[in-house]
Amino acid sequence: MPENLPQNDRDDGWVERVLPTELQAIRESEGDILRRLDELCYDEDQRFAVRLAFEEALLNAMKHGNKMNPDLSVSLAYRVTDEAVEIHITDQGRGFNPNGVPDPTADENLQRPCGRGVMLMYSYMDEVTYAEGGKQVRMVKYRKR
Amino acid sequence: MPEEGIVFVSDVGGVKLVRLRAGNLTREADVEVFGMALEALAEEPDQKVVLSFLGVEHLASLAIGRLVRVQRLMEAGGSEMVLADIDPRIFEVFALTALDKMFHVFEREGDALAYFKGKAEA
Repeated sequence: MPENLPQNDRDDGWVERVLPTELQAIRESEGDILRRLDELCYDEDQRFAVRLAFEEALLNAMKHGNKMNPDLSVSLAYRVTDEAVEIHITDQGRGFNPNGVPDPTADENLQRPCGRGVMLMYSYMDEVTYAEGGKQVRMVKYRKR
Repeated sequence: MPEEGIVFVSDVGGVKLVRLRAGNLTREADVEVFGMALEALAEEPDQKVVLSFLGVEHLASLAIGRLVRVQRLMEAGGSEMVLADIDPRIFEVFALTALDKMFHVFEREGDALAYFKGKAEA
């Protein structure tokens, strides 16, 4: 596991973490972001949406990106403001083509056990963009008024 | 560590009623316990299964994938599994991922049990 992983809470509200490739790290970082949503009184639907997309994105980074290699880490940056939640997640894997993920709702793919996570991220967040050849995902959820 | 005893199976008039004591089906270990319990049921042919999601408030695609796998096993063994008591937010996830096309979904577990009873009497 990478040691001395940096953590940084910046003045502009961005929180930066480097996470080990361990599923337990998802739970811990999820607790932090949910606390910030609660502090700013985001409603339950938005909390559900952010939590789901956050978990799916981190799980993808660790399982499909880093292939659960404990020598690799995942960089996480997020900012929760009154207006929006922004999340950036970067893995150290080989990247992927997000446009190449088969549509899990197509009849021929319904029986496939995989491939729903990315689709759920697109469904629950207002913006989802991939960068760095698929190694980084940036997601935004705007606050519903 | 997975939560112990998150899946409870009872027999109601020949129908296997599966209840979950897990508010979240997101951890890999819990999804594994959930999947293994259902797959054990699927090993017996010609089962009638009601899977109640009462109390489940969150789930990950990991759990959905496992549910799809279980459904395939159930169908291969001539069994039928239906779902019930799904929180509206979870149901939205099911609908988005087209799981509602794969499963017969009932509002309450009583409705699901009545469905099997009706089929047996028909």
